[in-house]
Amino acid sequence: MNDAHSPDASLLARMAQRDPKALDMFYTRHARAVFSLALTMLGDHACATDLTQDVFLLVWRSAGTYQPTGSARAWLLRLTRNRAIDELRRDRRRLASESTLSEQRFHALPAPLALTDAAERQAVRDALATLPVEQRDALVLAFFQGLSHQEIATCLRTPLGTIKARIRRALQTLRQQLQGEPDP
Amino acid sequence: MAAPLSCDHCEELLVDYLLHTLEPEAVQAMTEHLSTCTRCWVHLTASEAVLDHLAQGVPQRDPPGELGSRLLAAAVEGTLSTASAPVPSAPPDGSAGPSSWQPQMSCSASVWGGGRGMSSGKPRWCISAGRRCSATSRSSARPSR
Repeated sequence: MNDAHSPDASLLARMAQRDPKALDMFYTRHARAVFSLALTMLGDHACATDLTQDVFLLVWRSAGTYQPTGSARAWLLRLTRNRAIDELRRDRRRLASESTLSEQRFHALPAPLALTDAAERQAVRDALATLPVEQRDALVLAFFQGLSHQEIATCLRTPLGTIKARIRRALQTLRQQLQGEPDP
Repeated sequence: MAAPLSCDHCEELLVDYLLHTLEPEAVQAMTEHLSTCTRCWVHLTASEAVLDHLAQGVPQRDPPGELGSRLLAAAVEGTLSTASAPVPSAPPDGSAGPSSWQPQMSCSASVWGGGRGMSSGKPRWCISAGRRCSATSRSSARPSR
């Protein structure tokens, strides 16, 4: 089996043995997804580039502890999102201006599904389209901007409990749409 | 030690847990509950899968072409500099070690449980905590622009 067909878990095992070819293949396979998520969340090409490198270096350094219990891609994107959130939260200047979110900026938030056309993403886009706009906005602020519920409540001048309910309901609806779960 | 959670309370906190907005004490309580409650664990993984869909649904963009070679150079450089030592159990800055970013259960339990970076300071697992953007710390690996 050549590298191009090696399962992710196999590549990670080889990275744990310090095989740079495995890192190269793992990067080739996943870099676009990692970079795209980082860019969507950070909105800055240089920061997204560095965050992508950070994520893969973290994987390289700690590959030996990886436990293959799920999709490596999903796991990698969770790492990416968490790193991006930490970057966003360190930006005190952004937080300082977060007390009022201008209408212009709000509508400039990432439209993460607007430009995709893959069939798998279409399903996500369709599911998101079913959400009431206030639920979708709250979810996007929380997931892609890393805002806490309290911050979202402040930004949108909406009670905290309402924001929590909107996000919870949005996730429930997406689960039903994407995973075929019945209404609770 | 965090107080034990009920399933109802766990469900109430689940979204915050997934979205990385819980305080560290609550994260610990969630982690302990999820490690013993199959029902809540199943609920967690189902919700996590939805977020995974969102993460993979963003517009796709190619990273800079030189990033791959830069990454390999940084990785090899790090390997050489630690060639006589075992793989570090924790990142160089002293934050949490590999167990903090294991996938699925462990990932959720601790990567998500890095605490609110905004209010609790350095994330537990971050290899580059303390800087605003990693763009400022690549002088050894990044070619001049």
